[in-house]
Amino acid sequence: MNDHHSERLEHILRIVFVLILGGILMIVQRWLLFEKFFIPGSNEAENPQVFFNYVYNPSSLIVWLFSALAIILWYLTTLRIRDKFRPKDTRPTTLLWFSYAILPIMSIVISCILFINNSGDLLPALSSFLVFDGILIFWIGTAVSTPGIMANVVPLSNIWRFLLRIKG
Amino acid sequence: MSTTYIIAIGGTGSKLAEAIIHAAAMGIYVNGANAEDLNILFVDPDRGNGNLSAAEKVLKTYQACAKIVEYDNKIPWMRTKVEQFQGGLWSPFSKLNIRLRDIFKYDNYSENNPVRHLFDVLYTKEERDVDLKEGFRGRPSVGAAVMAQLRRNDSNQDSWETLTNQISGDLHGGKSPKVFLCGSIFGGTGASGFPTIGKLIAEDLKNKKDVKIGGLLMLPYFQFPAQKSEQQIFSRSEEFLLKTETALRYYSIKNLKISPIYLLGSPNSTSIDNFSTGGGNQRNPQHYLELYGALALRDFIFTEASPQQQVVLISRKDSNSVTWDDIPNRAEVRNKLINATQFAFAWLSTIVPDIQYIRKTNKHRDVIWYSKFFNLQEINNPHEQDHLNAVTGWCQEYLNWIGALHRSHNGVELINIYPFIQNNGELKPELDRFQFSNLPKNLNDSLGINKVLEKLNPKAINPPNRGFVGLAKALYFSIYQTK
Repeated sequence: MNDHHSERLEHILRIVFVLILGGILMIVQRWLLFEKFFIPGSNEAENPQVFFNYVYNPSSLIVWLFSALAIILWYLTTLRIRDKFRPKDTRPTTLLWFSYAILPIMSIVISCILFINNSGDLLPALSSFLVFDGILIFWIGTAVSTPGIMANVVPLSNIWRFLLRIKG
Repeated sequence: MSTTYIIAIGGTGSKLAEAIIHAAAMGIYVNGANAEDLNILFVDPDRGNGNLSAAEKVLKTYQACAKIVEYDNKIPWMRTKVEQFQGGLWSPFSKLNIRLRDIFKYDNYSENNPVRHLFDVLYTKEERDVDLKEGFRGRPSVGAAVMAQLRRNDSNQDSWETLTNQISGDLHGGKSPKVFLCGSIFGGTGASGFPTIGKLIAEDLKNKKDVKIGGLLMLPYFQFPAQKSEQQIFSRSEEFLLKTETALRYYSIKNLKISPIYLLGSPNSTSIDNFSTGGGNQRNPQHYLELYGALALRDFIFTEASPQQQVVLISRKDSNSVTWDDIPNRAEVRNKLINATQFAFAWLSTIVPDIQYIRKTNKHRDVIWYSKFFNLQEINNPHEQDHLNAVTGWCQEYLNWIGALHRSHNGVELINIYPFIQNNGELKPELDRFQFSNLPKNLNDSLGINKVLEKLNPKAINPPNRGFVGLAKALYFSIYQTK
């Protein structure tokens, strides 16, 4: 396997790693925050399984899928532009990155329309956490998979690259 | 580690020295852990010779860069220590405006003195009277008479002794010093100086059997249009072949005590427009054969001396082209030459413009390598600016040389020079960084510049590994690693 392919494989593995972590985050969130904290005092306390099966799980899945889609699209875009990238392209490319971030945000809107309006008094908490999850997954996923030459295009990506010991 | 003393004779000798200095920068004289030191002595009666001035300039640029790089053994670039021998230049004359008749005190002899008659037979009136401040004007007979007196000249006596003492010192220090003479066979200074100086050195070192003495002679490889000059005595390219034939015949019957001798020539002479009898205007463009000359020195340094006389031949597959297949030690030389060229190109096309971008916009975070090598305002430090200038100066000098080698013959197909050379032969003022991977000819696996920049790692090289020096070494290393 040449250098070129091994680098791509590494990028893809980082994306998969972040998506798995994102999935785990959503599961932990459900258990730690909703089951233990939000649901007991809410209208859903009597039958929390209905909330999870018909609201939390499908809306989380949509946010996760859209975040994954946004990361993959961003990664494919970076592959196309990385070889011709110059420092002066940083700002315009950051704007492009923000435009890709619309996808996870759109997924939250879709979730709201389809499911979350059934969530009663849990709507503010659920939508807030989905916004947080969607943006976090997209931000970390793109921060660690963006090729080194464009690393600074993703805002504050150096934090995640430092934590994951990513060189370049 | 040992030292090779290079005696560069005449204008062609200076041009060969220039090629040798560039080859030293590429790491051609580094063989694994062995890095040969070079000590260059220029021999030229024409102190203002343009070729000599150019070689001295290249040497100064090299030394300025090598000094700050500090001979890092992780990379072959700038590993060779190149010095100019004490005093730098030997001239057979201790004063200016000198004629052959003055040197031999022709006028001290009476009209009927047989010595004077003999002198009249050997030299024409024009040869006796011509001012030799611009060299021997393509007359080896004039040069040989003067060169034979080189050691007798008071100003050269000390230098000569220093040279032989230094060689002896190297020998006693367990090093194996070598002497390498180079020049042309078809001109005046080289053709006369090569056998004469070679013989003098061989005699002085005859008790030191471990000193290897070799040489390189350039056969005619350029020509210039027939000139009409007010001066009667000047070099004529139409006489080059005849002179070469005569000189080779002379060398074959004389025991020059120089072995091996490398001979390099080309069936297609390159035409030169700017003819000059000597002085600052005598600046001939660089030629691809000079690269072969630099590679001959490599062979001389790293090939064990043979007790028997050997004839080693190298020639091109196709007389109309020069490709990588025609280069000796192909894989190593190709890697080092391409590496040096890509480095120089990357520096001028990418690093320098990115520095300008940072200075202009203050957006240092946009440049990924910046924080690896610099603190926030470090690039504005005057000390760093000197380092930037030193590396940039070398890169410009090197790319100009590579460009000139390729322009000397249409068939030179080693490097694609047009990403950095204009049609008039000058370096382009702005280089397109994305042409980086297109520089090597007939190689498709070269990485793009951005991938090279991503791999920059100051920890991969020895200190100094920060600032422009660290950046330059890391850039070289990064390109080197991808080969």
